[in-house]
Amino acid sequence: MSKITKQEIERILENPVSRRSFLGGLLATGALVVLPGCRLLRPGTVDMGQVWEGGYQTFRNACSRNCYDTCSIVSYVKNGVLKFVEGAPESSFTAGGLCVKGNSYVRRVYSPDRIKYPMEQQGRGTGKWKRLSWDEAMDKIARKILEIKARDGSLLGLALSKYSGSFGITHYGVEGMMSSLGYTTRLVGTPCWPAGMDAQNFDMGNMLCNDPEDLPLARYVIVWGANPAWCSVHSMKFLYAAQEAGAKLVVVDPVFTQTAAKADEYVQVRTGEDGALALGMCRHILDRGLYDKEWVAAHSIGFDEFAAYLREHVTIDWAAQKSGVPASHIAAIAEEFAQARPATIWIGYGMQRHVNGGASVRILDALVAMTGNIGKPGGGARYAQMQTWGFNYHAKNQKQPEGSKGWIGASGPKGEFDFSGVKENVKYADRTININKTAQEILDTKDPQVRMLWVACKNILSQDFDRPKMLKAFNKLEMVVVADQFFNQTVEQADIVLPVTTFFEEWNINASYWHYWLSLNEQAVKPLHEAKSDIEIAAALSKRMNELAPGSCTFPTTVDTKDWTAQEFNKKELDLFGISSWEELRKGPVKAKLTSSAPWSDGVFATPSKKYEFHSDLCAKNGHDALVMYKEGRPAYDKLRLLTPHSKFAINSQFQNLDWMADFNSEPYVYIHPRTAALRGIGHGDAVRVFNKVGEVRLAAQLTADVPPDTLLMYEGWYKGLAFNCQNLVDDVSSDMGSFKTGAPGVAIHDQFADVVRA
Amino acid sequence: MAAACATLTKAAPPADGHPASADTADELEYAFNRLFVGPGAVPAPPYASVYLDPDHGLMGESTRIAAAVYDALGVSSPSNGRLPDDHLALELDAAVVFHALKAREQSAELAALWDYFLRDHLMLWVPLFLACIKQVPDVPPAISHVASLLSAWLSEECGAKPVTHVPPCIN
Amino acid sequence: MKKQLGFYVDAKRCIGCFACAMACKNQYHQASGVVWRQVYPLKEEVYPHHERAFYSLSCNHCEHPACMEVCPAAAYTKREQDGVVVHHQEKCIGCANCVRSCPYGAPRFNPGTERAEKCNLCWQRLDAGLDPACVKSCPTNALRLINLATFNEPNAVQFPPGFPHMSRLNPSTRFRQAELPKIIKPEDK
Repeated sequence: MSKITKQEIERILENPVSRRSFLGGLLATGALVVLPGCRLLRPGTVDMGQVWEGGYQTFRNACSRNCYDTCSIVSYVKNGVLKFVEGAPESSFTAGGLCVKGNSYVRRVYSPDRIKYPMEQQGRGTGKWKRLSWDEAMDKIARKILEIKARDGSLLGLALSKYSGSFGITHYGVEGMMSSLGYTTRLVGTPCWPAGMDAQNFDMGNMLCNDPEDLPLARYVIVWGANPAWCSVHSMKFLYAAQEAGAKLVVVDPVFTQTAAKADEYVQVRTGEDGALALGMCRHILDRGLYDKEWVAAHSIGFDEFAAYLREHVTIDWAAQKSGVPASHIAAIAEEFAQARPATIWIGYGMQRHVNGGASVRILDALVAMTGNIGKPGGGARYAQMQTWGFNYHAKNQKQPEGSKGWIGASGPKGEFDFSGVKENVKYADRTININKTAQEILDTKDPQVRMLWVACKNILSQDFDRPKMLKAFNKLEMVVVADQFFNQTVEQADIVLPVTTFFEEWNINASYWHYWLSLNEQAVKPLHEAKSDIEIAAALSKRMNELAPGSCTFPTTVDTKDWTAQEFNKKELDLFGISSWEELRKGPVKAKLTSSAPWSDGVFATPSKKYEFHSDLCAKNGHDALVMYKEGRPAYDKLRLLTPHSKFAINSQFQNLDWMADFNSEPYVYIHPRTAALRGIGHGDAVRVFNKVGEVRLAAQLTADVPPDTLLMYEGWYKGLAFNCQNLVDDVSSDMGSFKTGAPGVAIHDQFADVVRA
Repeated sequence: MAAACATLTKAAPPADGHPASADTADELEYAFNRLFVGPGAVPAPPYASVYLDPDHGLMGESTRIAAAVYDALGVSSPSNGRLPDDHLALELDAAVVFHALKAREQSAELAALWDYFLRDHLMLWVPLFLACIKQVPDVPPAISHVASLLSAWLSEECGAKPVTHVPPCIN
Repeated sequence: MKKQLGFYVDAKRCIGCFACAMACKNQYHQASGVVWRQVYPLKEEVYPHHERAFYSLSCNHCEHPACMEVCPAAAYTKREQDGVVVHHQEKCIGCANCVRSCPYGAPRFNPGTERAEKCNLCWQRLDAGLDPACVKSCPTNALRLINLATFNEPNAVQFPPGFPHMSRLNPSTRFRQAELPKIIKPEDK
């Protein structure tokens, strides 16, 4: 009997036919009928999926992260396993390539670190976890919810903290789940963009931006407080195209960012004094008569009042003194901007994370408007748009059970994705508290207090402000349920963790708040371990709730993510994209059929006056100045300013934890100006302690003149296994605007201060 | 689970300073999850591909080979693709199947397939998995005992010494 | 001139986003710590800002590769049709001569497999008519595949500052250098 070699065995195993017949004679004798001791493997073979000879099965996916670029993805699957991803070639925005984060997705899906099963911690932070079946987990959660209801007579003691961890539209089913249980407490608002969102709504009646693919038409581009080279890499090619066509690219930023390095000109502005700089430009443009008199007369109100304000309160010298930009230069760029046809400003979200953020955005809008650049292809005050998000929100719009009691009186919008409008004449509503002050709100809220917190699509202990306060707030909570993929700093303090799917393991639909493409997200592979999509979790909870107390939850008890994705489409949305069925998206992403790449091209605005409002009564009604004008920044509360913007290696707390990412970026740093460091005896690479009234962070320092001498720069995020968390230095002071469109003011993340010493 | 823990605890020989009775079922469960399950990153993931595949991830080439071996045996995992086929529990289950079949009949094919599964698969990764467990401090005696039983069984099956060098470990 | 494929590294367009480096990992799933394409920030002597200009480098597919020269196992070949230098895993004996000899650090030692490995210019993708994974992924078209026989970019250089000058090896990579903006800062008081 010749010995069968290893190579022969491997060859036989490759092929389903040869391997199934290999032991044929033996198996035919019924040897498998009785399998003593074997408890897992079962007789009978499954279809292992087609064996592809060299080729792959491809799927359409959409990156569901909170990112301008929302890439259209093509996934390559072999034998039911995701092998690699690429950008979809059909999208002229994604243009076939993903970013460093998108390219790491395969590692994310199959990371051994992924949370596999529902688990319960015996004492928060102890690390003592027991595995739960889904039935056990849903039972514990359902009983707690019913206990709260019995105790308080309502579910106001149940709160939801959720934001943008996953933007696939059916994830709003988490909000839907809350509604389907009753009236609950919602953490509303957004840390992201609300001040600017309100500002654009006051000025123009809506937040709409030019198609970023029209940037090559611009003749002058100011990227103001944004860093697309890190945060919107796919936009860079359009900025380069503009430069190649002769446009001047100017970057205004306190920090010499990567985008600044690619500009024609970098202007260093004092943090928070963007409004002053822009007003200086407005004043100069007014003086020189370089503004668009016709456009202003035909399409705006309040300009004369604004002009009077400029003449009385603004001079170039004042603007120079406030912003740190030399007066002669303010004059120069003002003239260049006003005379370029067209000119545009990319208004960054970082720019408005200040106590005067909304006011600053109004000023930048005014600069674009008075120069006649609103409504022009290649022009515009570019911030964001939600025009392409006109879905049904079927997952979100669930009904409270009969007889539910809640907050008395109407409540405002529950975040920027709440398109339901202000409801009059309602008896009960959800109780809304400020998501940007989560810790303080949990501590202060009573009658009833917040007893139970559900966290989804958010990592509050890594990302929310004033971390020491958040830990205190957690002490008040009776139960914390966290739905997540990795053991991050929030899961560390959870009572129950529920494993969720990546977007490769579910169906969904995604739009962007920047470009105008729509991307279907097909399920490419089966969910790993026991992961469930957020809506599947809602269905499972509903099933258990109704078993324990019939009628206590209206969420359907079975869901299919494909079916629920299909249910998000309506005719208006399909028409916007020029398709007759969502199934057409299976062939690839589709772009909206815009009549013009520029919104407001007909000069008719959505404001009460139907015009651009330099003077906005609505703005005054919301507690701000009616006229666009300067607003003071936050006085320093410590020696140096602290900035905590985004890293290019992560989306907030996602991706940095992967070992593939650690290969390219392994630890956090604080960046200090050499002069500032020298005064403190700090050398490059030294271990330092950054501290302020909130707390402290210990890490290594890097010295660079790319940050202003009065500023410490640190990138926010979560590193696996490191205690690093910049939220130990960031308090929760509000930005001026945000409540109008999102239910709560924003947060002045970049109005923070600290000092540093050698550790 | 409690009964299983009790049996294990009784069987485990007492280690120095760790009287067997100090292990409660709960402590054993916490340790088991910390070592092999989660929710945090685990020091000894019980999947072949984590040790054998170049990217140390799940659902790799080794996973496919395990599934192919089960297919050849005429059995399959009930998990329908959600649990990687190269999970230790499934592979040890397959060893039970092999033994049941070998007891019924002598077959050159069966012997060759078992030899492959044992020497070119199990023996390549299980010792590394066991070495990862050894690197973890304060492993309860019951778990160490089971690990040593596994090691002894492997040695007995192929008469080879277990690998002692430690792989570039996951964490 | 014979067809010689190589990379064009346009440091003017490059934003150091690392998409190329990760695209390679996405394609080949290298073990943690084994990196075929690295994105190197230029020192401040070369570009006077901290980590604001980069050279994305993998293998330079040299005309006279050092790796091939020192390999005792004939595990390296240079393709006739396009000059791609390929490392053959199955022949590699893990002596690491190539790892020590390449001045560009292209071959990397994999402690798990105990063999060397490096960028092979995605020759399987090339043969299927596809771009290398890194080139395809670059969002700014800063990393391109070029054929030195037909490449004609007047601003391109072979040995920019910061890149080891090894003319004997004759690397096939070409570069365009990064530029600086005009900088307006507050007048120092």
